[in-house]
Amino acid sequence: MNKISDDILYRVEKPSRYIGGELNSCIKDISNNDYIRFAFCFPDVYEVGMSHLGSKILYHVLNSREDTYCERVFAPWPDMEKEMRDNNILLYGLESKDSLNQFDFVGFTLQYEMSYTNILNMLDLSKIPVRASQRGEDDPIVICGGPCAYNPEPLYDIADIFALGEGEEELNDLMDLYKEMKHLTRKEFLRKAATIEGMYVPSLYEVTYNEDNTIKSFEPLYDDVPKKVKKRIITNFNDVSYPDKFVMPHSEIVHDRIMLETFRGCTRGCRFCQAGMVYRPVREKTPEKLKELSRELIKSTGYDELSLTSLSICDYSQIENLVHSLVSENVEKKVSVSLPSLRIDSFSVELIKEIQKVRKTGLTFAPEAGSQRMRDVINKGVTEENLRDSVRAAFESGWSTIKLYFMIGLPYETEEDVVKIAELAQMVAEEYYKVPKELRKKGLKITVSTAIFVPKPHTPFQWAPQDNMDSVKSKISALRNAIKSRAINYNWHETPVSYLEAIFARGDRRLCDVIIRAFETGAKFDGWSEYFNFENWMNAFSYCNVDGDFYAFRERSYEEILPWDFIDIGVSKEYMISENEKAKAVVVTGDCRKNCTNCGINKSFKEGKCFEGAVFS
Amino acid sequence: MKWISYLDLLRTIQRIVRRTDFDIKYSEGFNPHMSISIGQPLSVGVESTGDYMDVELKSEISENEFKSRFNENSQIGIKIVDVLKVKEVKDAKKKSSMAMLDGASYEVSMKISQNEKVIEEIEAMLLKEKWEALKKSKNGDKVVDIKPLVLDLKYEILEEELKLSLLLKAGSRSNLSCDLLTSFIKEQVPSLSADSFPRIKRTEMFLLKGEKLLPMIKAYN
Repeated sequence: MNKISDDILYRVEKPSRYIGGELNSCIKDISNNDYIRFAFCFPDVYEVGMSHLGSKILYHVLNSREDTYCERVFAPWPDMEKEMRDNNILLYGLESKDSLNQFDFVGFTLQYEMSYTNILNMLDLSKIPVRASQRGEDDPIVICGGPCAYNPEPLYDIADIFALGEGEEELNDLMDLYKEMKHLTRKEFLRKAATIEGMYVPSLYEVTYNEDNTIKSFEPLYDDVPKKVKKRIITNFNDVSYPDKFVMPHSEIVHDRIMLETFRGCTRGCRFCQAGMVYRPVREKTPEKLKELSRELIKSTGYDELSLTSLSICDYSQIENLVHSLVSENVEKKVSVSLPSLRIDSFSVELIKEIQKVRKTGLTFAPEAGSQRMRDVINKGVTEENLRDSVRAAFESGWSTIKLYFMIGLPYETEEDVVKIAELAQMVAEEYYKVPKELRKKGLKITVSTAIFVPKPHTPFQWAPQDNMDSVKSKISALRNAIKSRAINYNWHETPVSYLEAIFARGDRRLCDVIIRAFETGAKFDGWSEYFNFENWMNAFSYCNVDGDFYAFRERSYEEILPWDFIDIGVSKEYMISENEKAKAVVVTGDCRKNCTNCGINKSFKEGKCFEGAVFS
Repeated sequence: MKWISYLDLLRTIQRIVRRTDFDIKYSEGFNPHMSISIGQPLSVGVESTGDYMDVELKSEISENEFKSRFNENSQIGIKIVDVLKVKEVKDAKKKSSMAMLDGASYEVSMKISQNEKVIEEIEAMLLKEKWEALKKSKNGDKVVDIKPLVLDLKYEILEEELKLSLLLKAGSRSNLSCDLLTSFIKEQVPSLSADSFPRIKRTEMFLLKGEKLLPMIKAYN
């Protein structure tokens, strides 16, 4: 057990990050029980990791087992890291303070490509060999899951196992296997783990390359290792294990409220969106279930805000009914209900007014593109009319602060398309002024935010080149000049981080050495502007003789073997190709709730019915 | 618990109160908040066994019930030790406990690096007529004589540590922060360890009743 002295805690920022002992944290008697020890690591600082719902769900799932003890671990801030290294304190689980190298499993959730160096740093701080190929019998098994695991290849020699898909059942299968097979050697255990559906063991596959550096072949080394790894999904989503309490953070975290996961999957088919593709099919929880969960969580936490979480929340088949019941049940207790950013075409003022009965929050819309042509290319589908109606309704009901999110650098985009963002924002401002003074709230504030598009694997745009930095710079500049009104505030992201994101999102095994080299030369907290060092990364690329442009800026051909092709997400490659071709022709694909678009999910996942649990009126 | 900040403590207490389901009074307006206030903020790292909280309820509840329900729903490190029900007097303005605060007592431990001269240095400090310390504030730094704000100081050396029992002026009228005093002492007593941080614990808060300082729970009315 690590002892962190008071003197160290006095010296660091936000010492409550490192002490554990929060309300609802799980305490198990380790001295009298032989638990499977699982360290669930979020590769960022406490305030970010404690906001992550997936970690909370899996913490609950693992701790519900009587034979397993799951603890939380977060990346120490550099000031604490220095104290730890100076004082020989290894990275520890918050609950027991035991060092990570004493655990059986060390798991990382891959939420963001720029968190990879933190993963390496956390392994190093635990004195666990960073490379999977160098770990011995006594080292923990390192397992990684989460959205970025859908292209695991850049971390192929970091993780021993990748868990693809939804973890609730998969991890239980792995723990069951471990309990039975504790006597096996590390290699033998990993070989057995590869037979669990959804588990990918990179050391059991070999990749060869062509002269032009594209992939020549990707083959399993043995017959009992699956050629394709199929993602895991939870078919009975309504009854799947969900926490009845959340660990209450000591300090303020990014998202400090109860989160209710209402459904998984999405039917809109936006072509840039990986989540919309990989979380299919749509599965809903019933309103009764959600109400039951909300009551338990309010009682056990004392939070005053309930957030409904999902993709495209307004598509939940009984959204009005659900919101109405949650609000009326909780209005006396002053628990407010909030929704994440809303699709403009399903925005309903009635809905919004309902949730604002307790407390008014800001309004966010994501048109994503400035021109109708571009919105059709990316299949976002919302029209200017939709936006006009929505903002007018919002202004008439007393909102005066609106946030609008867009992306720059989308495939087939021109500078004119980007400049249209300014026109859209201008239209929103004009709608405000049309509303009579007595009805509207004073002080119009429109914030326009643009992010640089990063093509993601398992999407119709996975073959697209990222827009280069000069082109992006000139588009941002044109947009800035086009925005006239003082009520409109423009926030843009211009950093080279997007370039690196594009590389790692669609990278292959050769990037692993680059990540290790960058970490060895000091890279950490790359998602934080105060620590991100682009030059260090460029040096790492040249040291390893790897060209980043190859991954970010190259337009790939449909015939190319992509590093993530071996993963079956249920949506077929043919569908992705057809969607990309439709994008080029500016043809929209409709919402598949209305008409099946044949993405392939119900063929490959026969046990998962589309819209399981949903009730249509 | 000493590692969480004052604002985080307030938030934690608000959540404890929500879990108790007390009939708490809320403020009016767009963003209603609970009518709970806790005393004078302590720096991160300072403990307390004698702090006060004012809570307004909409309906009656016995002192014992309040104490037990709160503690049942509380967490490690936060416990109610005593409750005083204050009757609402018609047309009189409610007095917050913090507005009436006059003094606070503390126990402090400071590590000693060299034993030989410690007592000599402390006695020399106690003999000084003025204790001039730099008080930092939003409007700039000021040199202040803090000796008159120290109402009582007792010390002893125990196992390489200097232990102090202090009674200091506290509150909106006249206030000496314990941090400022311990920084001053560290300066005046070089034998104290420079790298180590003083351990501070606030033990009680007081009101002036006539000439005497009495613990707030006894003196409040």
